[in-house]
Amino acid sequence: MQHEGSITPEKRDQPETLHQSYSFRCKTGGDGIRKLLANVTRTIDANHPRAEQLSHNTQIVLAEALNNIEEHGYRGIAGGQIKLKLELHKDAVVVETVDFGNAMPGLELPMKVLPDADVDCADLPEGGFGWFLIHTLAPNPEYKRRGRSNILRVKILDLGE
Amino acid sequence: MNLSKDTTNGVLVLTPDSERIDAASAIYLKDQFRDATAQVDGRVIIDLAGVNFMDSSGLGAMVSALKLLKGRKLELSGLTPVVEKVFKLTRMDQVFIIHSDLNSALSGTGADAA
Repeated sequence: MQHEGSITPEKRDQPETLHQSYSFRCKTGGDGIRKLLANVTRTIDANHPRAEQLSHNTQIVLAEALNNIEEHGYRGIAGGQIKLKLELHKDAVVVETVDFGNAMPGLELPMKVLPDADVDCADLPEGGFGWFLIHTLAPNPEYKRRGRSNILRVKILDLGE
Repeated sequence: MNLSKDTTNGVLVLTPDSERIDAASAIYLKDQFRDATAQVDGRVIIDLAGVNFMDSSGLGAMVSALKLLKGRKLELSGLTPVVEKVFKLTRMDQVFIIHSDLNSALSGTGADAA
């Protein structure tokens, strides 16, 4: 039994050096997600030769995806289980998360919509950026509801500035 | 998360003490910003040089801070790569005055340096 927020990375042997897969898990609440993100980032930085942009983009995408699971899937309740699989590919990082929270409304991911910034200051958007960031850095994210679990698979590209 | 306050030549400089402005810290940022700027009507700069990560909740907190200035501009300095990317991708870089670092923010007039 793991205590809350603990993470267990385990490297699985793969024949090709740039096709590595790692598994992590954490629970919602406390700094579980923050620690998970730090571990994923460290793993990419240590093992991917083109780490910088991929690592930045993965941090942005995963922070949004994991916050969404915590706030909406598990509705802010601590102790919700999240499993994460990280695959390092030559030009991309693929991440699959599994959680056992509520399903996405309509069993679909929110669309890619950028809130309008061309408005009066008082009307500027204070939210709604999360899924836009995910779709931008990881085009065509895939979502499946299987039994009582939600599976999100994102392919994060090496989109530099 | 705390925002430290410093006034240089009449410019209020606020510095978050957290390396991350995310869902957990965003709410504190808005409250502390409100307290720090309540009696201030000059320029306000948030120096983000020590912040290496910001998510959409953090970005939302920056926008709500801007709104608290009621029409005045909010200036940001020292954006690190991930933070800069989040502002650029969401086009929120266009609603703040952004300086490369605090020194250039303080030596410029604000509007010109944007």
